[in-house]
Amino acid sequence: MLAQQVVNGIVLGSIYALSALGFTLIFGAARLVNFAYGEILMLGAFFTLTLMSALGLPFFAALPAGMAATALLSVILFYLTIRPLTRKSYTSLQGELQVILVTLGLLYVLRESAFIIWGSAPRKIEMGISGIVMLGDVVLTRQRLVVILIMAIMVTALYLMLYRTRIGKALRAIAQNREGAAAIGLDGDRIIAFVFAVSGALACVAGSLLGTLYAVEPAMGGAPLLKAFVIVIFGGLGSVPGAIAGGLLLGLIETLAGAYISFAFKDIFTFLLLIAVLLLRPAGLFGRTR
Amino acid sequence: MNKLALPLFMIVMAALPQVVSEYQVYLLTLTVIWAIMALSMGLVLGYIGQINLGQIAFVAIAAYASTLLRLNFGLSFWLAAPIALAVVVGIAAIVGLITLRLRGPFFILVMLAFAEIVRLIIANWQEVTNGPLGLRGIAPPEPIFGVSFASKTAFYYLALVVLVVSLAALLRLVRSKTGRMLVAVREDEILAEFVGIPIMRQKVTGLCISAFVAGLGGILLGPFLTILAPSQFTLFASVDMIVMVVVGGVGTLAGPIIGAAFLTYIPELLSFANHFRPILMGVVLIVVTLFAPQGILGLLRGFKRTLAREARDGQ
Amino acid sequence: MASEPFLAVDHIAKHFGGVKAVKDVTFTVNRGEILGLIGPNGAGKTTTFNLISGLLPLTGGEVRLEGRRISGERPDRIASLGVARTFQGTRIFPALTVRENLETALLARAPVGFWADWFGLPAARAIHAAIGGEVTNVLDFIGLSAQAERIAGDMPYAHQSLLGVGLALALKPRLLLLDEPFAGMNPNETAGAAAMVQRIRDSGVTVLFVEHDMAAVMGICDRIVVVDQGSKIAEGAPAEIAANPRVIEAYLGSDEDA
Ligand SMILES: Nc1ncnc2c1ncn2[C@@H]1O[C@H](COP(=O)(O)OP(=O)(O)OP(=O)(O)O)[C@@H](O)[C@H]1O
Ligand SMILES: [Mg+2]
Repeated sequence: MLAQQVVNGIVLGSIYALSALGFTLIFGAARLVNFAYGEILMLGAFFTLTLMSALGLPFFAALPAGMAATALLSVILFYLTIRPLTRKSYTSLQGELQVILVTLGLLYVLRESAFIIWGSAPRKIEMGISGIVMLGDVVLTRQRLVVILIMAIMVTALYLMLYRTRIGKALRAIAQNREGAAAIGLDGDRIIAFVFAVSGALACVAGSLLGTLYAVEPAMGGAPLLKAFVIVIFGGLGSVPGAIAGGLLLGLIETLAGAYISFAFKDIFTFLLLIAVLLLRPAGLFGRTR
Repeated sequence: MNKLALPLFMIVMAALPQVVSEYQVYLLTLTVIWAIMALSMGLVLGYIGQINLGQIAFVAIAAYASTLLRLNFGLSFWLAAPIALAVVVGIAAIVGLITLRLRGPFFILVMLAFAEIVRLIIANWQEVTNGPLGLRGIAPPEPIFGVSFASKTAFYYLALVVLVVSLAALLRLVRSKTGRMLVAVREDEILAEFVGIPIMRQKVTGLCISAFVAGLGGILLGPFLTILAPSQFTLFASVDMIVMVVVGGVGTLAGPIIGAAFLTYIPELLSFANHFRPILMGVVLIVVTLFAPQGILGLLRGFKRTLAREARDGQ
Repeated sequence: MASEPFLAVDHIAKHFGGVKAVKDVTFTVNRGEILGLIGPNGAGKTTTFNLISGLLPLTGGEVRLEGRRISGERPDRIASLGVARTFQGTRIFPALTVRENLETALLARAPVGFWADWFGLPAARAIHAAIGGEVTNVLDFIGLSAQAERIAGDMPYAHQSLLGVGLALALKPRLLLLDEPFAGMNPNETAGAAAMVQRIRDSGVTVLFVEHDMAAVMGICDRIVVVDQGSKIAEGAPAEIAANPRVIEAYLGSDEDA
């Protein structure tokens, strides 16, 4: 029973980790809190779904195409709505508030557009993989195993990108020191646009996987966004390993709390934990000096 | 603000129900209640300098507390309301002491978590709150001093009085020492602390006042809608308040009221169904933030300056 | 009493991780003098100010005001004991007008009751009126009377810098720390501001100031302390300092680095 819950928790946590990665990357590189992130994730799921139903593509062909489309959308939205603000002031409180306002506006627009385009009925993405595997007496569908696998592949790819490619190195430089990076001639906007692309692609994967396990619907972005908030605070806002650890941790906590404490109150439990983390480590969590 | 503006606003708002239909009175009341809530958000945005995505929780607590006191303990509205407000202010003080140390995204996230906790408790505490189905059949406030609030128009006047009194009180507040200290803390915390302003105390005071005003909106909400349900108190309600403040003009007190009127009436005037309201909110929020960060009031000011310049150049 | 100096900076040190911003600095400030604190960029001058004014905790040593230990106290407490400062690059309340800036500094410690002020009771009004008078005096003193109604953040840098001094003066200090008050000023403005510093001293306030403008420093200081790489390397009258080979070397050395 416990082992089963732990495995379920890891599956859920893998998706959470993927959701949080895209969110935390943007914060790390650009100090932006992107409230529209959950909606990008939702649109990513719809893109995959639509590619499958309209062109008859199998899941594993539709997913990369969906990732590309979501990445493109994410970049376009960055250039249209966020860049005009950040060009003026990256660091001032005023600028920070404005970015949050704009992404909140995007959240509404994207969600409602999805309603208008796809309607509100929940739909499932078929991965086309069936059957189960037994690990001792733990039951795991093959589909869920694939979820864990995809998350491992994505994380590996992300690490290779961050540590092995030029743009990844530039990205880490900019995350650490914006002025310094600008001084050595890195083009901040292009790198941040790239981060938005990567973040969009990751969101698409997370959304599509959620769609295979649960359902795709316009309102599906809200929960992953809230989870991403919780995760990045657990793991440290902007930290990639923190997002992975935080995501897995949250998946486990939720599954176990849901099974052993109270299903109805499991979300409350998570949020209380979040506040506790912020209280116990406030300095460590916002150790930014002005 | 112009000295004449407040009395003029009062007269117009007081006269309106005499000349419009019952549906219009409903809309006016809705506007007034939104204006009260937006005013509370205006205080947070403009005077504490933070975005509070949890503001709706203060509304929810006041609404549920006052209504539950009436339904379960048979208290009159006039007794339940002050108790509910005291509860809200107390909770705001505790929450503020915890969260106002945090800055920027951390404050936003933790207030969001707070509001979600409040909403989830309401949704899951079946025995008391009736869960997602909510509380129904909430009666208008009992008559007091021989005045009945059974009619829609009478309730409108009650809401209007609450708005005008809050507005007048806040106008005084922002010009008092407290208001100035809040602005100073918002502008530069290090300098503010250095000149001797107790930063945390100021911020907590600001949040408590703001929560009180939000609570005023909350106690009116139950009798106005006759039902309360957790679905009314999501993140999006807080965002609606933010949109109103931003559209009207951040850092002013007239702004939130103008914004509330604007965003209640625009969908009506364009006869959009409810369906388009969220998308409209989103577009308005983006466009205003990008192109008119000072809101409608800022546009008006700019327009006045242009007129003045043209008048001068014309001579 | 073996006359305690007005301000004693006693073997203070500040390390940021591995960076020893201030290693071991000792000097005293006498009542009524203008003491210059100079040194090349990164010498530790601002850090020394931050240590004196309580903005940073010390790694070692202590600071005493009239024999009483003030290091370890909170910045607002140290300010209320009579040690006010300006900030390098100046800090003001940018969205407020010049007058409102000064009002704010005066109002912060004024005994105005929350409710009394909210309801505009006579007691509160009297305090506001008194503060209005004081603001006028400070405006006169710093020469910004004509700019009183301007939004502070919109003013040229030189004026903002003067306002920064005004904010510190509004705290009615006995010791004023000025961190590069003449930065960004043209020679005319510098001369005016230097005269103002002398008037501040003549009004009975002791002044400790950091400045890179050597002509101004030599012109108005009674004594000068020189720091380099976190340590004091010289101390004396302006003429002695100007002739001191270690000082010359420190400055030339830093020029070569740049
Ligand atoms: N908060 C801090 N964290 C880490 N290092 C710091 C910090 N503040 C200052 N330093 C370092 O301490 C050293 C001294 O800095 P300080 O600002 O005191 O110099 P300064 O003499 O005022 O220079 P300037 O003339 O340029 O203003 C510098 O090397 C600086 O980089
Ligand atoms: Mg310095």
